[in-house]
Amino acid sequence: MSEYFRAIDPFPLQGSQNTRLAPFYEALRSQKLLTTFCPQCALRHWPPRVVCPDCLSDRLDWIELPDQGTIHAYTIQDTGVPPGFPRPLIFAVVCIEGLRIFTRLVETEPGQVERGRTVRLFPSAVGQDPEGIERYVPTFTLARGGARGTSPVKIVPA
Amino acid sequence: MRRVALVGAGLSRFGVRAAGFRELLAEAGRACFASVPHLIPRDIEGMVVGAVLPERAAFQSHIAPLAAETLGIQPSKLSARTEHMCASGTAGIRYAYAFIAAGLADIVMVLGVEKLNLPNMGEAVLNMGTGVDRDWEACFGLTAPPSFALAAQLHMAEYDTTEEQLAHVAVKNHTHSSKNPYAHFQNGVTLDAVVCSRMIASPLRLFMCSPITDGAAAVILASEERAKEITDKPVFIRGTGQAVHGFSVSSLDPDYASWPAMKQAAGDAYAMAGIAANDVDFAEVHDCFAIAEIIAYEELGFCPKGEGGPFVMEGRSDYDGDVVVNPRGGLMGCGHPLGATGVAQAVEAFWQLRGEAGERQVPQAHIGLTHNNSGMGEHVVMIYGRE
Ligand SMILES: [Zn+2]
Repeated sequence: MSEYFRAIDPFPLQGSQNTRLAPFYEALRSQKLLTTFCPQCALRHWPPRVVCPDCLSDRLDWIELPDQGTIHAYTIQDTGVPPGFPRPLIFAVVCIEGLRIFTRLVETEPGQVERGRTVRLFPSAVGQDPEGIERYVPTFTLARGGARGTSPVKIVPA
Repeated sequence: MRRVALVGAGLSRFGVRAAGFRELLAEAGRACFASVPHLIPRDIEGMVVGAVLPERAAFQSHIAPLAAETLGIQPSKLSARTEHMCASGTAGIRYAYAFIAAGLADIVMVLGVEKLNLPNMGEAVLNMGTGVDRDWEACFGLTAPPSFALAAQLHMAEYDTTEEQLAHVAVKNHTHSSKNPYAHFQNGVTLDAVVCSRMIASPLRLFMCSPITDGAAAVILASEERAKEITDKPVFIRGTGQAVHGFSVSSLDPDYASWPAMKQAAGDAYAMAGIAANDVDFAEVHDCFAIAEIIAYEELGFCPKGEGGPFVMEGRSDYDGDVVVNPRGGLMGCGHPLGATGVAQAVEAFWQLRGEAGERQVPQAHIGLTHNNSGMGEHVVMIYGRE
């Protein structure tokens, strides 16, 4: 019985078999932050889209965003963290060139987090999908300390 | 459009219940019928059920027929489930309201139910993540507390709202729920206990958050004509409004300390009812977190923007103040069984406007407002009146 059940986890399927946003995740695996751009509206989206919410065009381009931004707001969660996630969880809303990106800060001392501080992309591996694709999510870390390309943190749920 | 009224209302006990999904809804449905002598299940033409997580918490979908069969109802005009996260119950009431107002049914039960507590509480917490954007936000471990913590942080930065003011919301609502025999928490809390309680998501502490609660609530709505045959004291739906400005935290604009969607939903409801904010005698607002009640005072027009903190400190949202907010104890005191909450607010409005609220009766209650959010950018407001 127990082998049959496979719980759906909170991480998206990222391979091209399962999502049209596979290029985003592919870039993320090489530490790049992409998003979609609508040439018709000259509008960048967050999160990436398959249809522009302004003009409904489906002819969107992938563009690369800077990998650094600033903290607009944050919170540190000590209690009530979902199973499989570490405590504490540091959540932040990061501004990158006018886009607001909700994310999590990793490899970061909670006491160091302040509004206005610079953070940079630091993707985290969250476990393989059923096809064996290693999945990543776009976490960030405080810009000071830790060189780019350091191996990402594992947050595989139990 | 025809006028529509509540004619019956009932609750299950709220709390960590030794009862399953179907048993909870049976309790509330039975209590609702008990409030309407002579009405029997076969009189009900429609069944609308607000429920959020039965697929995960009870391995059960197909909820409206299940509820109807459990209560001996055979819907002939309407049968549907509403899922709108924390606003599911009120979404169901609006749905039934519109059906009756349009003449498509005369009498409909709206039931809200949730079984959230599970043997593995980790699973219960994980399930709550399904209510936020999974691909871009729940994948980081986001559930409701951190989102509202962002609102609290920005409200404190922008308007000098204090931790003590947040704590006062909790003290008030727990005091109210101590007079509510259906509430999850009935012992009250002191200011000290609130400010010393565990940090959940900074700056929100344990007692500034609503708990994970099981429960169910039910109301019966009827056309004015039918309502007057059923009861001498119908409670009329006077106005309603709903606005959704955004789903994900990333998409909300301009910041998290102002909720324009709430102002819009309230404005539409006031206009429909032909009243202003200062006509409201009591309000059941969505205090999922203390900051949400403070922002609600402002967006509902009970006080100017940014003055929600002083408003609660000065007792203006309590008995003998401007408007009694959360007389039943709100989500913080009663608990928050998602789909049941909006319906339970309607049950309180029903009791208050009929003068049946016992120890927590608001004197001279003529107009009551209920409000749910299902995120900072999603709001729904109802206005109920004696006439
Ligand atoms: Zn466009």
